[in-house]
Amino acid sequence: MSAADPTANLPVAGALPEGGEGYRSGSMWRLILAVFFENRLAIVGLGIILFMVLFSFVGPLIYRTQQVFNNPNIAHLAPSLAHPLGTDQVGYDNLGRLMLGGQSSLEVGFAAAIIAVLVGVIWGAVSGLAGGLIDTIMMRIVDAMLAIPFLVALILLGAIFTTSTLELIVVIGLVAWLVPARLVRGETLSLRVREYVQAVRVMGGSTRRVLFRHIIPNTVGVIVVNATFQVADAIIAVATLSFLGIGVPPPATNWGGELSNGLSYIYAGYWWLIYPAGLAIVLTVVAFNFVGDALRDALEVRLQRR
Amino acid sequence: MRHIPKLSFWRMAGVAAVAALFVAACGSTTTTPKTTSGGTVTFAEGPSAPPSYIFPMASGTYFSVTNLSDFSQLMYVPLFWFGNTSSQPVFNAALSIGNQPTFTDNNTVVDITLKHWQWSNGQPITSRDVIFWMNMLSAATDPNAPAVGSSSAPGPGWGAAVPGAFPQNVVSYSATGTYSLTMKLNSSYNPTWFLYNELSQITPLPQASWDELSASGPVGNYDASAEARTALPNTSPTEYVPSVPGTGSTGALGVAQFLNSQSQSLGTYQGNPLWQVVSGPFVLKSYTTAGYVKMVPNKNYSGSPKPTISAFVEEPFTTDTAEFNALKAGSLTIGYIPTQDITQKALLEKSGYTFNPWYDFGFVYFPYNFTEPTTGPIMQQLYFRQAFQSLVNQEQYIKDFLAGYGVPGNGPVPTYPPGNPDASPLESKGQVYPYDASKAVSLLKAHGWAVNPGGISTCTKPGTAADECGKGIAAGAQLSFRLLYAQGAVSLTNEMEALQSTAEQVAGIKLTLSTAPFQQVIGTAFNGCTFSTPCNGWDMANWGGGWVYSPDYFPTGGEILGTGASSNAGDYSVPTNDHNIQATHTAPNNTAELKALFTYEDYLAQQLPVVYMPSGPYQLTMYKSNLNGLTHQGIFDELYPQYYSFS
Repeated sequence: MSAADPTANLPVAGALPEGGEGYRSGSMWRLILAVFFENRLAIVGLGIILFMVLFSFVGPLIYRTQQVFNNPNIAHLAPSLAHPLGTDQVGYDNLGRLMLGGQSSLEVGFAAAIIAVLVGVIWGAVSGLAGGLIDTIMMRIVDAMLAIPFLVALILLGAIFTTSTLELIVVIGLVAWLVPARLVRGETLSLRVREYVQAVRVMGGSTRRVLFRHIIPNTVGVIVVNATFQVADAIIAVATLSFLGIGVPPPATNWGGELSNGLSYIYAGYWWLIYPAGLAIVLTVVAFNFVGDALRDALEVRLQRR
Repeated sequence: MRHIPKLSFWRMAGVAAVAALFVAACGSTTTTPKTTSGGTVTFAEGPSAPPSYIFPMASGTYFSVTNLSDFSQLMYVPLFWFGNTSSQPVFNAALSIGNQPTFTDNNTVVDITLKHWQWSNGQPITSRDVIFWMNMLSAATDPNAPAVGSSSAPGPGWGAAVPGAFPQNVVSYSATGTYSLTMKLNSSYNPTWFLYNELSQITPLPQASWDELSASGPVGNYDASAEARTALPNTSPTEYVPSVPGTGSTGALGVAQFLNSQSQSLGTYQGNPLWQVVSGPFVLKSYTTAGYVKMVPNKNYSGSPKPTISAFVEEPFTTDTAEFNALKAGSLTIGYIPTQDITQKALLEKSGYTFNPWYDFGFVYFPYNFTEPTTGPIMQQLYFRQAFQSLVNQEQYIKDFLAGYGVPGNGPVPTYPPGNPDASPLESKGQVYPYDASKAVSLLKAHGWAVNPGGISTCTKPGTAADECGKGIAAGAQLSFRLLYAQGAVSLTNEMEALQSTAEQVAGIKLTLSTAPFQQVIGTAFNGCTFSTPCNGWDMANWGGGWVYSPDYFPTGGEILGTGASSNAGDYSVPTNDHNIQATHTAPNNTAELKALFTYEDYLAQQLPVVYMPSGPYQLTMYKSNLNGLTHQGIFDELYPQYYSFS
């Protein structure tokens, strides 16, 4: 792999800085992208994600169906030209339902991931930077919450809150921030003793400046990679909650709820109520994992230098 | 005793008997199936509806088939048993602890004698055990008793309580011998009604084992202070004042509170010695808080027949789909086919199951919460209830969601199976308010509502004139309601989603749906909501089952629709209705009684105190074909595992 002039960003004298060679910012991102796009699975993953976003948000503008009021008179119709994926148990067009469910699933997935990462990053960075008693208390809180099984916590919170898309986002976000908090805290413990951080302190830089200008930006690799996995996990979480009957109330829906409804008819042979929703969940989650893996490779410093 | 000619049932029984003989003759060289003792019968509980209360004196919150008919009654036999294995809604002297009671002095005195049965610990069941129940029931239903827990109802409560009715219509009761007692009533009552709806509420309890105020305290005669009273209620109100705030009272109420608290402690059922003293054919062996129940035969059961199976197990399921998977796997002796899986009936029959829909003597409905401060005034309007009922497409629900099993609900008296003589001509004729979307819209428009199909309709003409919204409804009030329903049953979910869609699309009535387990729904609906202590957490609540007439075996409705009744979920309170109910209690003969019943049910068929829903079988039962004793199932949803055997 080629790289731009490796000496351009080097210190005036002395050995290479910790963390390896420095690069011009533009060059670095080009390098990351180059590594990322070397990974064919990542390209497939990106394609699937793009397709799902377009399918869910643009699809309903093209393929218009009634998704607010049902019509039991046309329940359980098999796939046909009029209804390419048939109809469900109360007569909703299943293709349109899949699009609507995709909106909810992706919205919850992205939004919950953002909440989880934001909370986790700030919590982990503050904890790691503060150290001492504060770090101990903050991490024991994380440990205690991590000890509660993910599913149990979700069900408990889901039962407390009246479920809507917004509340699902909050509920999943409240449970999901723990892992990024731990990861970022670990990175922060490493970063806070670096020379450039100490130099900022010596020059009178505030803790806030250290945190937001030097610590968090340098954990971006960990954060971005984890965020992609968080999206996948959140989509699974919302599907799980909906599968267990703690999803969004009708007429809203999501893929998990559709899969749960469809499984009630597994013996009736209504395959079109099961496979499309199941496939959508699997493909989307796998796609985010592909992208996450590729991002991790691309952001891995040692790999950049190969 | 009231006689109910159930010709259709006798015909069914006859046909079944002939069919059974025919099958036996074809499949075997003998006409009598060879039965064996032993074996475990595994029974499927309803979806998300495990038993969660063992004390037979259940408040409205726990007053369910799941807790009583299918659980505690297997251990604690009522004094008078109703129903039999031939599905007759009649008094069953053979299975009762008490003999047929006698009424004298113009039906103002009741004399009761007990058979010489015994508890599982070998102690005799005596009149003292009946007095024990009466004392606690008097205390638990005393309006002056303090509330318990979060309920606004007085005392631990009793789900069948009706103000002024049993036991408040009993002036005095006393034992006249070891196995006999007498009751003096405050008026002359129809003996049939009094036996079927009042005496039917009595369950003898083991006074010598349960009469205590705490688990560590001694057994005494704490309940007896109420027994000494000569008039009910409230002759000794101080009896019910807690001696120590927060710890309950001494006396009968204290004992009832203690037993109530023990019953709410689900995790202790298995080892609690209280629940090991039983009168019924079974005794509890295992129980988990998830709802798994294992009962084994009570070796000292005095009734007949004695159980021959070695264990009766009840399995919990969160959804009917999960239950059906277990049924398909063959792990259930008695289960049910969810209506969405009815196409699998033939396959299951080939794999050794027999199909037998379980019909019961009840009706399916869900209540309005008339006490809700904001939406209650809207639901109190008859025109609104008429409009809302006109949006319930019962025929469609039966066809699309219940696989054709069911009939539309027309009123409070069961019309199914056809030919029920208690159903009036009006009820038998069909729905008074069948599905009619345009009528619903017209009714709302005619009463000052700006109907907004697809949105939310609002009141534009507040006031009490005939063309205005009605009392307590302000301008701009919205037709927006919260409907809580039980999770786990696909057919119920589909019904609620269809109703939600129709109501909003046609009439701008917005229903916000939410789900909860069965116990939570009935706990919400039957939480003592009254106009003096209103509940604002729900507008409509559907637990998916309505009401089976037990222990009010004569369907006069006082326990669910009479003013102040414990199981009157939304506090429907109309003087005309109360008068009609009262008339059924005091009718001098059976002809007058039936006439009064017709008046009562016709009024409610038109007044729509609740939302009438399609009534179908309690469940579409599938049982292992080698299981004997299940040809007919309890018409009050009761179980008879003492009749079960394997062949």
